[in-house]
Amino acid sequence: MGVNQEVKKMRVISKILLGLFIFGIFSGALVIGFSEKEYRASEYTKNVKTHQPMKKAVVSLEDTTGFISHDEAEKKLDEIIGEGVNFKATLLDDRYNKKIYWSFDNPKEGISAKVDATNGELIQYYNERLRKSEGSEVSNANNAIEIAESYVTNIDKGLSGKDYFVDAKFYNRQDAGKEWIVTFQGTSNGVPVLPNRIKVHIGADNGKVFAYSNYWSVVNPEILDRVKIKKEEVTNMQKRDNLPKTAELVIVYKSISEDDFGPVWKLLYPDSRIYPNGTEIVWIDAENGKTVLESGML
Amino acid sequence: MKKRYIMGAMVLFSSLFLSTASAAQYNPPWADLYGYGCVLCGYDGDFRAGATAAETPVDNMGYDTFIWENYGNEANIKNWLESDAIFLYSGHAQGWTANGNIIGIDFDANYYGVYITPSEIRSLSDLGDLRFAAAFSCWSGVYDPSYSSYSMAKAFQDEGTDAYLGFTDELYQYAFGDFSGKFFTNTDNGYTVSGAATKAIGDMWLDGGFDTWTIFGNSNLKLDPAAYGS
Repeated sequence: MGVNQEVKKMRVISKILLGLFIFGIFSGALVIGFSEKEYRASEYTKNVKTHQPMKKAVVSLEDTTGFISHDEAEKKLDEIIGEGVNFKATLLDDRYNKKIYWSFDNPKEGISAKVDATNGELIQYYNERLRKSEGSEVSNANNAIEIAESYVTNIDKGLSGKDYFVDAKFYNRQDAGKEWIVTFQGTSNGVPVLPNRIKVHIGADNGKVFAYSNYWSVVNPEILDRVKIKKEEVTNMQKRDNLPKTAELVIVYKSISEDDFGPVWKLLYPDSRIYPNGTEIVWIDAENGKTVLESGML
Repeated sequence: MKKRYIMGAMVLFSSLFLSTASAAQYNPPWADLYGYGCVLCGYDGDFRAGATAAETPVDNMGYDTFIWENYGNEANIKNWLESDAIFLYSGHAQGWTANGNIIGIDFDANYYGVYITPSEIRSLSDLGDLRFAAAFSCWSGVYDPSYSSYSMAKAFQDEGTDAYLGFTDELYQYAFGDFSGKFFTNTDNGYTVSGAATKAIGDMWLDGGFDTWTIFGNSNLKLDPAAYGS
């Protein structure tokens, strides 16, 4: 056999080997892939699920009688967003928050808003285009508060007559940009009442208000009592370290009587370590583990 | 000469084989959502709601969605991570400090046998298919360039994850389910991950530290419809 013939033979053999190898690769990959999928599914059945599906708390309403019209809600948004934005609004009943509102959602444009269907106030607003637009840098908290106060004053009823304190926090969200959130926190005799607050989101690099939320009028909780907690009384070191310097708890009753949830008590205070059980909407004292329900006492 | 040719081809296709086998894409794309809770672990907390609240909206977007509660097989978690389009860890984190600042975290569900460090994430062969990763853990979004190897966020980003959502402060248990449900519902409605996070915070009474969200990678990413990462 000549040298050329030997080379040819080697080439043929190598091609056959490669063909078989490639066939084996993809067959193997298919088998492994299939096995991995089956194995994952079998493991899943072993992982006992204890959770329950989320209850739907928001429902759509077709009867708009007694509420502000779609046109009125859209006009409200035109004042804020400007002309040229055509929204299709849906009237929604949020049983959890006991609120009925017009909801505008345009995720393609990155714009959404909620307008109170009973009084026309803006509840929530988000505009992605403003987040990305050009503008002037907001260099400090005071500048951010000025922008937020101006914004809030220009819409709805502003802050007149409200008992509140204001706070501005800076956030570096990496690839999502830098942002100021100015919070107008409602108070009662100097004690924060959490549901009553307005938040204004401002781009730190452009000074634009691109998000807003106002739940002040959504919930008007009745303050029933206050409980003072002395820091020294907390035995758990980790929790004691995390307690605020002045730990005063406001006991708030939020009357929710919808079928889905039933009446509940809520204790609200920033960082109070009162944990709500999200599934049952029951609040639990983290210090003693007691559930707070009908009596509202710790 | 011929042997080199054959061996070279073998090596080339072996590489192809390995990459195919270890990072498979499935239809529908996988979403693995892990939630952990424990009262006997030296810390308080049940953070499973962060995973369970995401189930319905993630499923609605078209992902093959599995919820894993207190799942303890770390090897499987890492293996499946390479085939995941969405990965979520909702649980305790072990924080590391330098000069008084938190510089990074490890995923710490050690009570169940799961403890994952940023280095282990970096050692995985490929996370290029991973479209979105979220870590509902304290300080899961911290990044200090001087201590880059401690950052879980940076590890996921460097390994090819399209977008990673983390947090730069302590998180409180009560808000896990609230934020998670709202965030993923917003992505299901078509909003970008940054828009979904902003809207979620706007709708929460109690931020619980979730207002400190941060995104590494493409903040304009949309998760709907279901797909693998680019």
